[in-house]
Amino acid sequence: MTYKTRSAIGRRGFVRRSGLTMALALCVAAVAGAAAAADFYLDPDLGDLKPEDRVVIAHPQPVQLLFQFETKGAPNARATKAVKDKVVETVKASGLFSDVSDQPQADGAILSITIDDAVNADDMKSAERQGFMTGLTFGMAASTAVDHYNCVIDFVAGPAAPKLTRTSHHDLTFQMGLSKTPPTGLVKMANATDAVNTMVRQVIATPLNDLAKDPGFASADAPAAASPATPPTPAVDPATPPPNAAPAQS
Amino acid sequence: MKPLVAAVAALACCSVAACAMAPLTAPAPSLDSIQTIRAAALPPMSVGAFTPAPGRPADMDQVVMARAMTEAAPEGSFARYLGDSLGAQLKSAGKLDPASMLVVSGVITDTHLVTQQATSEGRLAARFTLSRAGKVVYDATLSVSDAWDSNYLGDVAIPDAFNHYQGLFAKLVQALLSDPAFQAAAKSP
Repeated sequence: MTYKTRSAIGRRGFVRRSGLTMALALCVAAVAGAAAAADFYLDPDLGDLKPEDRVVIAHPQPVQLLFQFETKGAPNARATKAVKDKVVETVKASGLFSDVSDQPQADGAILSITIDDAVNADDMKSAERQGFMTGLTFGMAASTAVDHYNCVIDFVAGPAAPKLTRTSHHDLTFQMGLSKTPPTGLVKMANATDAVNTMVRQVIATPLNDLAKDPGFASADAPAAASPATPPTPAVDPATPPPNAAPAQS
Repeated sequence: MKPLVAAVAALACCSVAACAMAPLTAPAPSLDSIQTIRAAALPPMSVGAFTPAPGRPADMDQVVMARAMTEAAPEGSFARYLGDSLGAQLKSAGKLDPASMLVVSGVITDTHLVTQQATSEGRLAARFTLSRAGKVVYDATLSVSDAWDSNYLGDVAIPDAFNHYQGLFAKLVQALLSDPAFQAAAKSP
């Protein structure tokens, strides 16, 4: 099956619940009020790839794409499914491959992308402490948490080719609570979906472009060449920021 | 994001309800497995029956439990999910051939998931057989395990446990594919 680019994620309902008590429902309703006022911010350090920095491949080859989203190093199948379309869209938009598919190519190239939502113990304790206060005050007290995303991109041009690897990191800051103060220096996203889509696009596009600069990326008859003057025209330009993105107000 | 939401939901509400998570999705192929298959030059093979060990509770094959939550097996059988996981890796490497005389089958002999407050652990074992034209050329029981830091919040610990449990299936498939005895049996005429 060849991947078809579609609109990206829009679902976060990974968990189905049953048997909730009335008290629980009331508490959730109170928390939902605060959640409705949640804000999402991205670190601007990675940002979108500039058109003039993009690598152009003279003779793009087809590639088999593998993708997995992980949480603390363990596969997260639901999150994988939720963001996979955006990953495919980003890889296609790079213009580095003639075809992007999950089907094996005979002795062909394989691109493996893993995004890991890493959580360290200190962040976890801080989130629990702040979350408790936000819940205790029914959404009045503010909470801020940061999700750290580590992306690993592996590429093999063929069965005997060496594995090439590039990595990147992105931070997504989440705030909730009525008394929150926007963080400085971060880019505010319109909503959770926009934040995740932008994070996925940015955390993949830059290391993928770096990978294409490696001499081992292209086969001998299809050399890679940087072409600052003639960037490709992708189906979706990763360099274009989302229309609803706005700088954080301090 | 998720830890914070989980903390808010769990601590503010101070309540625990019996819950069920949506079934696992299709297994994802991995570069490591494809590389292993390529490096070993494994021939095409088919995936036969994967079943739970006889005499074990039926629930063992149908659901896995972490604290108060259960995760249903995809299509009602974790054994089948193991077979599907192997099939996904073979297919992604271009080595899945339902008409092949080489048939891999399996019986899940052990499945274990314990979610404690500080640490959690999971284990999965299966007896694999490889048959060529009906003759068994490989028969071995392989086991994999995992341990990870847990959390007292169920909303954090339970999905985490299920994620790690799912990861055991890919690990077990990788253990099979990288077993030199399996590779030799698959390639011997």
